[in-house]
Amino acid sequence: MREDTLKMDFAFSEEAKREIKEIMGHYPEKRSALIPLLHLAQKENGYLSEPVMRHVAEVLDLTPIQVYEVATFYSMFHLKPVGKYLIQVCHNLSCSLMGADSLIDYLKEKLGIDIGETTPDNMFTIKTVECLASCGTAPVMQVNDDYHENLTKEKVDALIERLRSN
Amino acid sequence: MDRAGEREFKSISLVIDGKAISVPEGTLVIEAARMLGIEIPYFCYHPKMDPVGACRMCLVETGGRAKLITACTTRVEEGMTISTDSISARKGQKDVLEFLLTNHPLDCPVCDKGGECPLQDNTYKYGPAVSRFTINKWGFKKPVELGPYILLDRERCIMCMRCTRFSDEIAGHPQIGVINSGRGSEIGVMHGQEFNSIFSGNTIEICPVGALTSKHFRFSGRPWEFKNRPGICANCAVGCNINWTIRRHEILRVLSRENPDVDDGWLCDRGRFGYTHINSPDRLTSPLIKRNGGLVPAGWDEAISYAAQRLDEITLKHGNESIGGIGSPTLTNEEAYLFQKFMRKVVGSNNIDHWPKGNGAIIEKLFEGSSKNDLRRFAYSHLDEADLIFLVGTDISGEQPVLDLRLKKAVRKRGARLIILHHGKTDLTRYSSPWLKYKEGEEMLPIELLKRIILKGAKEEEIEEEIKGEAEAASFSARLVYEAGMALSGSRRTVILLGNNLPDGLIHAMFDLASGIIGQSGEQRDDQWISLGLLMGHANSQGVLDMGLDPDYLPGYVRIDLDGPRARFETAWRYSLPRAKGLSADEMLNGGNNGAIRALFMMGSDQPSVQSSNNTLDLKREGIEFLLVSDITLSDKARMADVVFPSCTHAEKDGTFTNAGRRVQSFQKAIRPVGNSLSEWQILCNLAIEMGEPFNYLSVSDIMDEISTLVPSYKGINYPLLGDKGIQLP
Repeated sequence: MREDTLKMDFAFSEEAKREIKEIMGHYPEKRSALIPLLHLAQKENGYLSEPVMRHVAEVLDLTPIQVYEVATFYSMFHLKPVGKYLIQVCHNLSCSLMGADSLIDYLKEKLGIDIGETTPDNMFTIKTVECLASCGTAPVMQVNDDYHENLTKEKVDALIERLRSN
Repeated sequence: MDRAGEREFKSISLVIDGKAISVPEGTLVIEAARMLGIEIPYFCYHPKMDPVGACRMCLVETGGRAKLITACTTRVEEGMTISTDSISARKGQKDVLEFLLTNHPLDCPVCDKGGECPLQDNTYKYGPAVSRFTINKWGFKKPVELGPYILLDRERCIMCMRCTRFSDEIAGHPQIGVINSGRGSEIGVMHGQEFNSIFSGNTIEICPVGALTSKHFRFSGRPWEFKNRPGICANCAVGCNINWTIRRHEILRVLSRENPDVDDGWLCDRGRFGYTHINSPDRLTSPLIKRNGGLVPAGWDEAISYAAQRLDEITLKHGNESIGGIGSPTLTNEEAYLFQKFMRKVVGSNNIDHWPKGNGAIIEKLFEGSSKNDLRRFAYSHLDEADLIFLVGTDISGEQPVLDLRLKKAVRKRGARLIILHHGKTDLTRYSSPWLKYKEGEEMLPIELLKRIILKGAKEEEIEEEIKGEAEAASFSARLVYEAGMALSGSRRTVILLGNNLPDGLIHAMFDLASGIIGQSGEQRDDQWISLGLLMGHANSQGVLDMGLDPDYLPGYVRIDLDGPRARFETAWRYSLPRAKGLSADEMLNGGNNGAIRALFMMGSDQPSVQSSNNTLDLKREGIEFLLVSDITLSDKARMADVVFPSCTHAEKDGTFTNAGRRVQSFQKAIRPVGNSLSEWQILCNLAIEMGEPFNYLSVSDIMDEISTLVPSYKGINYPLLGDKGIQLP
């Protein structure tokens, strides 16, 4: 991890602190609140930096590695900053059969970045994910919270165009 | 949580590979098979850890189920039929191995584990000879440093998670974990942190592949060149059982050797990696005599006769009382016994003590003075049965680490309650309910309050009143101390452990409190017991005290100034013992007590255990005409000496230690003595004979035979009886 992120401090907002109190009330054991707290932290910080994970560990009486394990396990947690639009392309079986690979290559070429990278203007990040549970409309990708289905190169072009102009 | 012995276990009958067996309910299939002598291959299963089913190696077939099951996660069921070697079970095992090896580099020829590797062994026994995975294997940067002792090779790892489970479940130090998911999983630490748990080395030993290797040991040899010989760890007073890994009389590694009553199969890093002094190039290889201001090598005969001559001269000139002896608490029982006998009989002085010294003698006298059945004397195994454990002024995690694991097991796996009375935070205070924190030096206040609550029935409000005036000394509330008092008086099985350096008054007060609780319980609660112990500091602190390496006591805590008991020794030793009270180690060290001490014999090394503690030897040469030292290296005290005898480490000699739980354990010579070094008991025999006293002991066994006739608690102990597990003193 970079030195600057090591030095940075993170603290939850007052509003989040109230929410944490509520979340922790749902569980008999503190550590059960880990995933909801990571979501909350990601919402506040944009991604899970090391100081964020250390802070969450402190709140829940865990060691930093116990938080890190969970944060790295799930693709929905970001350990690096992501762009304004996070593009998650499914490359599981159905989507692969329907051309996910060439779609991913097309996206990479179009945006000029590799998987896991963010465009220099901080607009787009591409990630590959496993099944998005929409095999009937493969190939599929998720941009932030929205699904985009039955994708073709033309549809991707139009989508990127629209997002850029937003 | 279940408590052993309180629940009747239902018996379950099942058939494994055509053999019928009945086992207690809850037994795992893999364990039931083991009882029948049937081997099921595994990697992630470990008898001391919760099952996870991570490696899938233990697949077996069970009648009535279409899919193979993992024997390490499945508990026995009535009427179950298991097949471990059917065609489908064997195929399952073979396929799992093929999967486990998809990315494993098979670099056995350069791997430390090769030759003692479960993955290698199971592959030969159960695996396919060839793999269908012809794609390239993963490559990782290696090795990765996990901590001060451990290197990780991610390519070899099969993700059994034994290491992460150990560090969390057993050690209570979750510092390593599984990063990422699926086939991208790897073991690691958080950036900027390290796996520095004092128990980290155990993960090297339980790793079933060559993924975790020891920085000290890696690439130093192949298992078929080694011999593993049993020994006892001397790095603290716990007395963990170990195996020395030896090649050509060199110690290369220390492994655990499970003794359920002592170490439970674990070691701490201090013990596991604290062996480098043994084959150190700094070891003394021949006696040294001071000539023209410098220490020069000499032969044994010359050194012994010169030392004997000087001791005789000084005795003639200044009297017996001008000679003193100080032994190290790393001396064996036999050496300690012989040393005090040498000083008392051959030299004729009670100036004999050990250093560094704790407060253990007090508890011995207290137990001797109380009627037999009141309190139990502490043994480690009591922790496995206790409902309540009360630690008073001791940091077990730092001082007796492997005992800390037994404590954590009692608290975390069995739900025993822990109460800690300590001025500072320790690794165990997080499990304590409550932790009574006091200001250093003010530990009497909480004990007095507990006494009032338990023995005088004081109410919480009264304690509240009392604490008000003492706000300075107590960082605990009346409620907490009241809670602790109630727990102590209500507990059925209690272990109370005291630190080694507590003030006399506190040890007396704790003894009174414990006796008081037992006395209070009366007859209706005869299943109640309290086990009380004082945890000694060094490898044989308990033993040297038992052996009378003390100015006030003969072996077995016989007071030197009481004519009756002393007579027993005078008859046995055929000598009239000196009656004058001897000087303590501190008095002797401090400038020879204004000239009273003219010759000082300092026996035994401070390595390994004494050196690691905070003791600093303050030896002043002024007034001491002759300083005789036996040591393994040219230590500070050896440098000051007139004659230095090179002595052996405990890897090179036979003997016994008595651990902090008062268990006597024997060990045998594992490698030949370095250079011309001798055991201290041999040195003492030679010196005594030179001084005209026939110390004709041919072996430590002869000395132990004498001890067992003179020291009541060691009665009947001999080497054959000690075996490889030792004997618990009564």
